[in-house]
Amino acid sequence: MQGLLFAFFLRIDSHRLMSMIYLCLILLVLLSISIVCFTMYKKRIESNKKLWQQSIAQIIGQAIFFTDEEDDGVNITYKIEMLLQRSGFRNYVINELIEAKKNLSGLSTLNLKKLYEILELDKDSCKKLNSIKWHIKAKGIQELAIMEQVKHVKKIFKLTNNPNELVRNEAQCALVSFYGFSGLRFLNVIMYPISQWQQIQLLNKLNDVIPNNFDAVKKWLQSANESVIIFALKLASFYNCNDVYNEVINCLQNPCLRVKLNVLQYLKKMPQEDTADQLIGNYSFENKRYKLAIIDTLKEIGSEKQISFLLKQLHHKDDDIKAAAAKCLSHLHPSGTAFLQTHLFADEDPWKAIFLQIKNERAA
Amino acid sequence: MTWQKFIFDFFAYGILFYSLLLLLFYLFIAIYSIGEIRKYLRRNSFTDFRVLAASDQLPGISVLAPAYNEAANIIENVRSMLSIHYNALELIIINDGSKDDSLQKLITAYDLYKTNVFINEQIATKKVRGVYKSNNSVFHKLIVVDKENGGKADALNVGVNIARHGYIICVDVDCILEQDALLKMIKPFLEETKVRVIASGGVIRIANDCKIENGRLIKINLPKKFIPRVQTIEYIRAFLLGRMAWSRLNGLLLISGAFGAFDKDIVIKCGGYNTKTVGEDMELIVRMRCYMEENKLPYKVTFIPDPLCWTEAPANYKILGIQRNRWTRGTMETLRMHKKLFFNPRYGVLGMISYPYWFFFEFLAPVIEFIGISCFLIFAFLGLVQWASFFTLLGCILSFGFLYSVFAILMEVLTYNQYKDQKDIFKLILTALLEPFAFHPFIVWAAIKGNIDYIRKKNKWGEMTRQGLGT
Repeated sequence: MQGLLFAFFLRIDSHRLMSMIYLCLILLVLLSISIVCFTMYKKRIESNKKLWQQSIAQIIGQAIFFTDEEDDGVNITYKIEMLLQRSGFRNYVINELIEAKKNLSGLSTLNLKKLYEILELDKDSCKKLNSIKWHIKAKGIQELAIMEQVKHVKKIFKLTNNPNELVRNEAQCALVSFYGFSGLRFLNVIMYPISQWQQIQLLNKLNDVIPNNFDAVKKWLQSANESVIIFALKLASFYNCNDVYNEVINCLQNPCLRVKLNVLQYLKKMPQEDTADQLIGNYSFENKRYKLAIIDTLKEIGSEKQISFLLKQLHHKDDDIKAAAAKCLSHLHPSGTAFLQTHLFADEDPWKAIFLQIKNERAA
Repeated sequence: MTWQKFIFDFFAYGILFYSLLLLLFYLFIAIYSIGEIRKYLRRNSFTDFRVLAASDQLPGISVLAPAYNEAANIIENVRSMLSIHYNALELIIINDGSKDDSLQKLITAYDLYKTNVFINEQIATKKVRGVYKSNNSVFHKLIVVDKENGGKADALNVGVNIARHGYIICVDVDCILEQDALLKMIKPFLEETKVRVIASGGVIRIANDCKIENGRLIKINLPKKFIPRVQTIEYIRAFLLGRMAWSRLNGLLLISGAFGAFDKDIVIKCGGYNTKTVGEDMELIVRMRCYMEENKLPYKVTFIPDPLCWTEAPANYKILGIQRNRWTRGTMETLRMHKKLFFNPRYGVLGMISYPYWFFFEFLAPVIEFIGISCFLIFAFLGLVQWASFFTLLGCILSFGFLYSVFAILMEVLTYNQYKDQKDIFKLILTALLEPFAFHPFIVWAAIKGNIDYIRKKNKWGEMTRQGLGT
């Protein structure tokens, strides 16, 4: 037999295998060189940052303590001027300004914005905004938003409906950063779903914002985009908005479970006299998660009128519903937990265990 | 053609063909993972997790941590988990019938009292002896469950039954989690709008020789001992390359039991963890995926490349052997339980790619390697081996394996760069060079023993004695 007769099977012979070894070795050398280069590059960036840090801290420090009289009194040394020619340094300054702005409030943040403009860093952010690469575009939007560059709002608004999710999300956050509640006007036109994560981010940005009126919320509650309805419901709960009650109640007819669950969150906070009855009317058709949420809502907004309904639920075949109903009864019944002890099956499982837990929780 | 030549050719070309296919898969995984890692890094590079940590809009998470004879470090480990940045967190420690004084230590340290809790046993489990909560409001997030010993899967099922929140994260109690670990883990569940994310896995990193104080990772060091250091490379390869590529394909079949997040609703619908296998982590994912495929529900299993969870790797061959033996049995049990998936087009990527890959290249690889080595020895004894060709082929395989490891190290440097010292990187490369000689044969042998134990129906977990991470 000649060798392993590789050619017979896969046309692989020893020479080809040797070539593969050489190829692997060449690649190995290249990868090793790349590792060394990248480690050195990263180290150089780190040491550059350390060197730059002092200069930047100095100008940021000066900027933070600007007064009206000395409005552009930042002392930009020749060294900093030279460094500002380098895009790496400019990017680093932008990042440092963003970090500083996140950690400060009041006049200091305005001063940081002023510094950003004096150093013409907005041009860099704008360049990023015009990039065709999605992650650079999104970064540009974020920088302009944090630095309150409202003049770019037209461009940014168009991006709220961008097919790329990250670009879209950053554009939406930017609008809310610029205009607060009225920045949410993109909800009128948005075609893409808003993820739960994005909704949390938007609500987080609206933390200190007090809207003038909630007419827009009414419109969003009737949106064809399910995620807009959910977000509108969250907004209504977030702002304890009473004006949209009727529109919210209508959302109970929406087939989407997540919409309904958000309706219940709202109703917990903003109930009306007939809310509990409306919920009971909705109860029998729905799934377990929704049923549990309804009972949980009744715990907050119900009255003695719902006791008979809850007593029925205490005998539901699902133990979770039994437990939720018992918990709710202990809140709504005038005798509280003592009432549970009078129940016919109080000494039988699973009721016994459920009642004990409730008694314990109430006592704690 | 003589019968000897026929057998010789059959083995030689069969193994050659198999090896080539395996190398092609590795090549594909390496290249395919790059895009996914890059996308993840770009997407998350400017998310401010710190701001969101305090948000009351985030959904609740129940962290389930089973503990068995963990008395040595349990107080610090629980403290570490309680300090994680997340608003709506519930930490459930499940004492799985420990023979040591784990429970008593917890009761004393966290001022626990026994409370009556109604447990809706949606998944059947061993008996729960008691549920404890703290008198101290500082530890209001903590729940300790004491139960009869039933194994890790059973303990996790108790946790699932007790968990109040819709998302559960299962962790090993001795793991050290990064402060923003839960936020990063929950993000994929909340980000996805088109399909339902049913589970998400996180990277496990080796914490041997790292500086840990009060349950927190202070300084990352490369393990000094050879065995944990090789595992560092193994983990980088598996998590940074392998799982990211499978995640991109939506074909991920395994989320490590040490750190994984799940949609509780689907876990319950699937019947929870299987107590009859030692590979409960993999088996659950396969079953969850089957459930979604069979019900034609669009879904995804995601993976986070961030180093979020740090664990102590076995530092000697004995413990390592027990671990790998168990992993092999777990894989075999899972593959056997779900054999209906094998090249079954009804299950899409799961049936046509993931399952066959695991069957041929995860389960069969050590078996074929072992058979190959055995045949080689026989052929060598019979004088049938052309040594020049043999060494060429061996060189080829070794250089490819080394190349793959070095590529993984490069990816680590380019992405998270945990080992910043160039000396450490050099040590890693050197370790990768030694791996095929000083580590890999042992892994193959441990897998073969796992196969034998599986055939003998030995299904013990195995005692995993560890030195413990510094406190």
